[in-house]
Amino acid sequence: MTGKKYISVVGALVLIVVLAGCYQDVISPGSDPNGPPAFVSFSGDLIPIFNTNCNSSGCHDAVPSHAPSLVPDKAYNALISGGFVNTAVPDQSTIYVVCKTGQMPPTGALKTTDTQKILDWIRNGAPNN
Amino acid sequence: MCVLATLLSLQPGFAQDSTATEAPPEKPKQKPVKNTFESVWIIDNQTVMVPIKGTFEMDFQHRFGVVKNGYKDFFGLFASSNIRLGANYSPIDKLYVGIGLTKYKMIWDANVKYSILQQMTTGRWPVSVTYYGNAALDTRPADNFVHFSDRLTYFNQIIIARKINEKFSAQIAPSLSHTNVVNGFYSEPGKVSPERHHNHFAVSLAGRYKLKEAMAILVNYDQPITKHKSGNPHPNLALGLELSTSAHAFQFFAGNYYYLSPQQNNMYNQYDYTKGEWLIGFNITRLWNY
Repeated sequence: MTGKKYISVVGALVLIVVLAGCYQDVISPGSDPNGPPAFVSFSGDLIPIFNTNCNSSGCHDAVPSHAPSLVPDKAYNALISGGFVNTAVPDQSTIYVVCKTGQMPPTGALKTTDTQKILDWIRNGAPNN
Repeated sequence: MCVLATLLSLQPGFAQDSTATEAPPEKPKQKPVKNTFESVWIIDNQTVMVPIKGTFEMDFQHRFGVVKNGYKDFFGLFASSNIRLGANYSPIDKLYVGIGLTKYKMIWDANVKYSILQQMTTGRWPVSVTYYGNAALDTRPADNFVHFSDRLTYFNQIIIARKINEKFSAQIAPSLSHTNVVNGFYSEPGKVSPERHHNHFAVSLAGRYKLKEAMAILVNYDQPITKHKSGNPHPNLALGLELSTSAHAFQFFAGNYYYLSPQQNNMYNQYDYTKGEWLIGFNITRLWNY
């Protein structure tokens, strides 16, 4: 293949990607933090998030290599007694901040609706429900 | 007679010599400067280097966890690490194309690099200029996304470099990152506003100083320019050592960028060197010529 053909092939590929391309979407966090917090169940809503993202890859396991343990039996006590939840200033809670900034999980940030569930759970007083 | 014959036969010889010695200053030969950098990477950025036609190149890149946890996770080496595997090929001179897969967000990237100008030994171009661009696809499960387009991000960079002398090379590289989707927040009851811009400008500075023929010190600094409403990225400061052979380059360093994908790094980096959040990383590149 000649140089010109290569350039046109690569150019066409770039064009396809660019045309498939640029959007300016915005994802809603799901519930309004200025309004009353949505109901969140710790065992029904948050534990499934932990199971999918946190406690199954050698990180926040039953005997965690990184605190806190987020397995269903231990997660609530580990979060509350470990100081990861701040019910007085919910949006400064460590668990919310690390998820919000994308530091955790290290394989890719949580969905914004899941992060909002964590915040709403803390705004509800972090109940063991 | 004999003397005359000798003189005549010598005459053209003298003329030949004088033209041969005078010719080079009239036509100095311009050549592209070689080996401004030894690798296509300089820590977290691309360099101006584009391998010659027919070169196949592989990248193996690692970023470990933050050092400051100490022995608990052995200075980050036992923490969750980020990995990128890449493969590139130069189908023609000055162009290379490649793909890569990053562990973070399972990002596939397709990238293009084209050498626009090359620094010449004499005369015209005092610097080399290269364009680098990529499009990246987040391949996590579909429930993480609303639209397919939300998976896509883009990165464009103009890299300008100069080999200042045999030991020292420096480069500056302004860049534009684009993400198709950003998180929203309720700016007023019932109204969702974007937390950040979809486009982000940044500039990167990098330098290499050779200690020995095959060993060099690397420095890299990335400064974000665009200001967002929240989640502003922190700059990256990185210092490293490069060991190279003709076909390998091994870079070992401490810095602040974790994500390996340049647009993720420039838009979202949360590791702050003023808080001591350093992490160790390495890049290995291997070249084959076909």
